[in-house]
Amino acid sequence: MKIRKKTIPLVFAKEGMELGAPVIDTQGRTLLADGAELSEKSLTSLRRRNVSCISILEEDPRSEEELAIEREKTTACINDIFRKADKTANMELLHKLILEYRIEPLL
Amino acid sequence: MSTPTSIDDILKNVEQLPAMPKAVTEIIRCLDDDSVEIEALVKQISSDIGLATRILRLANTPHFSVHGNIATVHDAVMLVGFKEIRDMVCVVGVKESMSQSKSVAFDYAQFWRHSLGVAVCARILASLVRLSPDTAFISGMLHDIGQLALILSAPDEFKLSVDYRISHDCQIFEAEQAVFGMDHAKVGAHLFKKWGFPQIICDAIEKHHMPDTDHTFLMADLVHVSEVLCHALEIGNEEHAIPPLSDQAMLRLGINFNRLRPYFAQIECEYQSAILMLD
Repeated sequence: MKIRKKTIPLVFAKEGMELGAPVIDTQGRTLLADGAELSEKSLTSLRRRNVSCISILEEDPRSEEELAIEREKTTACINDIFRKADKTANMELLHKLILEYRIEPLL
Repeated sequence: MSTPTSIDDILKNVEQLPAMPKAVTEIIRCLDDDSVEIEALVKQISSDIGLATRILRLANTPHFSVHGNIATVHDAVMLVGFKEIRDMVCVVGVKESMSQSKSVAFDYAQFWRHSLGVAVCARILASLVRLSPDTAFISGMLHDIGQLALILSAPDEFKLSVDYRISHDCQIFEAEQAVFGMDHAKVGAHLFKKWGFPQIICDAIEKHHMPDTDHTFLMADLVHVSEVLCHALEIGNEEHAIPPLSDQAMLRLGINFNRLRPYFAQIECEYQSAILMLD
């Protein structure tokens, strides 16, 4: 089973989750290290410091076949959103970046 | 309200809509006033019992309350946070003040998700381009309110514009222009000017679909780009095509999508947290 990094809102974080990236405040100070396991104490501390999002590690139960189908569906959905987009450099770049952003967690 | 027959009639009907709660308009007027104190915010919220009750109920949900039972507005501001409660008042107050708007042809839940998504996105982008994040948030939250005003003042015509949008696969503002001869951006700006909202917010609302006019406004550019980005990220716009993007607005803001790419996850995350305010 693949382990993936996932960014979640802090309000959805739970004790026992493992960090997929360090939590760094606006001053550049590390509040929690990469790989740290979240505890009630660390969650309270992050809430008090107004941290809004964290990266966690999560198991992905999907098979390679399921992921391939998901990639196809996702690509079709994004292409549909951009179906009437102007052919400008900005729009083409946004389309490309969104595709990469959505497909990367499905690889 | 009488059935409108012209642009003037529609705007007159819109002017008859009840104003937003005083607490909300006062908070919006003082968004960038750093001298506003906690007690002033508490007093503004507490003066509206219905609003205060909703805020307390929301503040006591597990997502916002990590400190136990919150019994007063003062406790809510102290324990949940000044800015968080102020956002809550704006979201809840704006939503409730327009709740009389009812149309079977309109997806209200999607409308509020989209408004909140643009608000969250605009706030994050504002901090990158040195605009006021608080003004950006409320401009995003209010940018499409003209649609609800149109439903209230001309429900049958608005239904026609929804049908037009579907049959032409176009943007709602294009459909409104075809049916009404004007769009929700103009209607919303007219309403907020009437209510005495700050000019920067009125301009942002009026120009958010067409930011490249004689006089340009950075806040309008910001809401415009935020709306495009929210569509791209499928925040609150499940089936609609992405709206046109002004390259000039991007230039005026001094941003490009490569620079915004690291913020995609943050926008989605903060939106997922903020959506809890709509429950």
